[in-house]
Amino acid sequence: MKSGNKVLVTVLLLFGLLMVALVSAVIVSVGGDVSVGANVAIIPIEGTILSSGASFNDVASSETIIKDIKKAEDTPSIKAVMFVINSPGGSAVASDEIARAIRDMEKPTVAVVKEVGASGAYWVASATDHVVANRMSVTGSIGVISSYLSFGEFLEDWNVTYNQLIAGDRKDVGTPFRELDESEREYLQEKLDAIHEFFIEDVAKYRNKSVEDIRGLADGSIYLGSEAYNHGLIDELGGETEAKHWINSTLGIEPVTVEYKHEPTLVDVLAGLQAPTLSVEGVNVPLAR
Amino acid sequence: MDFYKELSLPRIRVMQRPASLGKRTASFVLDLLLLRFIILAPLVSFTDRIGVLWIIALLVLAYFTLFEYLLGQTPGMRIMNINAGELKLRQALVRNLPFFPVLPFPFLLLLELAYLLTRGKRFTERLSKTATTEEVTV
Repeated sequence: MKSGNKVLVTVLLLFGLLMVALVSAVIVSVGGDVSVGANVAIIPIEGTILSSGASFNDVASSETIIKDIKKAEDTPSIKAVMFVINSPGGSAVASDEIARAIRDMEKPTVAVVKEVGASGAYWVASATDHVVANRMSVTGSIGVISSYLSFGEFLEDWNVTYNQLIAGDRKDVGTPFRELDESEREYLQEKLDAIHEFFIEDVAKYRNKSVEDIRGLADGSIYLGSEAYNHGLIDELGGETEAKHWINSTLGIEPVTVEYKHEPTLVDVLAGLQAPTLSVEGVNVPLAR
Repeated sequence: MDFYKELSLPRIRVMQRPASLGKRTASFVLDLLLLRFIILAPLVSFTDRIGVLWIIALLVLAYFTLFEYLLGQTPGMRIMNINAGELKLRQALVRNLPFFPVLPFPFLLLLELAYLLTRGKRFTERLSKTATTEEVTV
């Protein structure tokens, strides 16, 4: 066979095999979960919670997690969902999106907090029907932070002039090239306070507590699992075993789990080399940390 | 006297010899990488399902068998410049049974390695009456 024909046959064969794999994947994903006997879906939430980004790159993407939630809801054989959380938090928007998606679920949900389930990750955990954490898990941190490096004085020291033409007095608030004045600082603080209030109200609603009770705990303090249990921020001390017992006692089923994993393809690995950005027009996206 | 000119012998001769263990291993690794990150990539999220595992197993077998049957070499073998020659479908299938990731076939890999180390060719090559060779320039 000529060399050119060999290349053509190679390409066609690779393409054909890839098509078989793709079609199989589509059929399987549309068909829903058909894991043998699985009735509990495990959705891991690991890493910083952001709206997008590759899960393997230490990012818990709300886009991906919400898709998994929908998949679990649409799979008849899945009777409950367990969220295994090991995250320090992340974006307020992404955390809220996941929490709302959990609250909209009709199937029972349980969160298992591993080493860390703080800030935005606690926001997500609080939305589930039952929260389990190890006595030494780090949770709580009901607060909001926003920070950036300011180079204003550095530029002045080096006689570098910052020129920015804006229409709208507050358009360049938060730019790293000059210092914040007092009114701008108050302005940004108002935004953080508003997000903080949303956080407090949601946790109070999800945990069936008064806003005042949660506000008293929401100074950004972290709580070990044992402390969180005493404050009513979690329901039970333990781990996945206790979570399965809860599912068993709630639904009367023997939990058989299937984990919704996301493995990187070569394209994902190459795309994930670019770190996710957090800045929007020079102002850091407020993080629920 | 220029023997090559007098006897019309080619100055450079290309001969076939059994492929070395290093080249065979390297070509296998390359094929595995191609399988894992390109062909099987759409299916890796579903490996908890038995049906998908069967599809993966059949795709792996199809990959090795069809490439050797149609071209005499897989992409990994092509890169390492080793060749199985012209094969019938049955021969290609027998040669690649150890790569079918369903028990008991993977156990054949141990036999393959033992044969390769002691006799210079794989057990399934003996079974299928085939050989994997590399070109050398003399």
